[in-house]
Amino acid sequence: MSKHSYAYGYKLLFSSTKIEKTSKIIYIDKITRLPQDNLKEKIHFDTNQNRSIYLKVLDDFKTEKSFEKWIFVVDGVLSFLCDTKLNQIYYQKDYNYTDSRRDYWLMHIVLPIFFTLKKMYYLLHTGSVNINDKAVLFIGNSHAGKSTLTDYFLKKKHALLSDDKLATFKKDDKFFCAPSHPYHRPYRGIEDLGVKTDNFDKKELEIHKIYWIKPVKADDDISMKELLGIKKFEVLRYSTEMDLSVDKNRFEYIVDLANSIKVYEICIPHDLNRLEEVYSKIIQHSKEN
Amino acid sequence: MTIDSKVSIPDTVFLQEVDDEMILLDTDTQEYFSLNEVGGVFYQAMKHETNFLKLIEMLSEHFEVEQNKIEKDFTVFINSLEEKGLLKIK
Repeated sequence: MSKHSYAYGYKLLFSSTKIEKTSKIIYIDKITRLPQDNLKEKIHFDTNQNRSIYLKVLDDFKTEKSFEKWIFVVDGVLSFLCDTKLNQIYYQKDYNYTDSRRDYWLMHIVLPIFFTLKKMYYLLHTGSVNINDKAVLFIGNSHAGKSTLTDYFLKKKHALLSDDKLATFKKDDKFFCAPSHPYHRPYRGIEDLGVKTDNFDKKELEIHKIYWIKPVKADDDISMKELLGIKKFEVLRYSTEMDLSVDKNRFEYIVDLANSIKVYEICIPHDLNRLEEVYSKIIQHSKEN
Repeated sequence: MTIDSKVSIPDTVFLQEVDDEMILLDTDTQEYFSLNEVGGVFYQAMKHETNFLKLIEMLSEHFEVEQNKIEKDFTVFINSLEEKGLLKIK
C-alpha cells in the first residue's frame, strides 16, 4: 500500500446534541483507515507540555472548507484528523503514544479547537465552579492560582464546571456555560488530566461573574475592583488563547460577553492559609448583583 | 495630506464598544487598541465618509469646534492610525 494514499489509525466518534449541551465520546478500538492527508499548511502553536504541536489545514482558515477538516499533530505522540462536518475524529499513533496522552490532548486542546471551529461553543481558559446555581469563573495568568482556587471551592462542596477550558454560549441574550470534563488538577503534571471528581455539574449554567486573579504578597489585603473597557476586554481576550487568531465573529463574541458579564480583579495573597478568607470574600461578593 | 485625500478602513480592522470605550482589532496582526470618546467619533465618521475635507466639516459640526482646530487633531489621529496599519490614506 502506498503511504500517500491511506494511513492506519483509530476512530473516535463524537456525538453531541445542542439541546442537552452534553457531549459524548465513543472510542472505537478497531483499526480503520485515515482519509488521505492532503492538508499541507502548518499553523505552529506555542510549545505545550514540552511538545511541539501544530495544526495542518487546507488554506489557513481562509475558506469555510478549511474549517471542515484539519489535523492536529502532537509531534512524536499522535495526530488527530478532525471532521467537524461528520463529528468524527480519527487518531494515528506515533512512537510516544499512550492512551492517557491521547485523552489529555483530546480534552485539553483538540475538542476546544473542534468546538470553536464548528462555531458551537466559545471556549474560555478558566477554572469554574457552581455558586448558588450559577457559574463563577476564575481567570488568570499561568500559575496565578486558578486551579488552587478551583480546588478549594471543590473542597467546600461546590460542583466543578471546568478546571481548564470552559465551553460558553449565548442563549436568549444571556451567557451560559456547558461543563467540560470531570477532572481537576490541584497539582500540575505533564500531559495529565488530573484527579477525577464526582462533584461535577452536568447541566448548563448561566455565567454570573468572572474574577481575574492578581497574585499579591502573602500579607497584602484581599481587594476587589471591577474592570471596565479595554482592561476587561484584555482579560477576556487573554482567556480565549488557543493559538487561534481572533476573527470578526470571535471579536464580536468577546465584546458581547464583556458588555454582559461583570469582570472583577481580585488580589489574592500568596499564602494557602488565607484561602478561606478569599473563599468567604468571593462567596459574599457573588451574592451581590 | 491634502483636502482631496481619501481615507479608508482596511477590511481586516474592526471596531467594537466596551463600556463606552472603543476597541479596534486588527485581525491581521491580532493587535488591539482602545480609542477615547473623541477617537471613537473620528473613527465612526470614517466609516460613513472617506473624503478628508468632508470629514473635517462633519466633525467640526459634530463637536461645534472650528474647522482648523479639528483639522489639526484629526490629522494627527489619522496619521497615527496609518502608522499602525489601521487606516489607509490615498
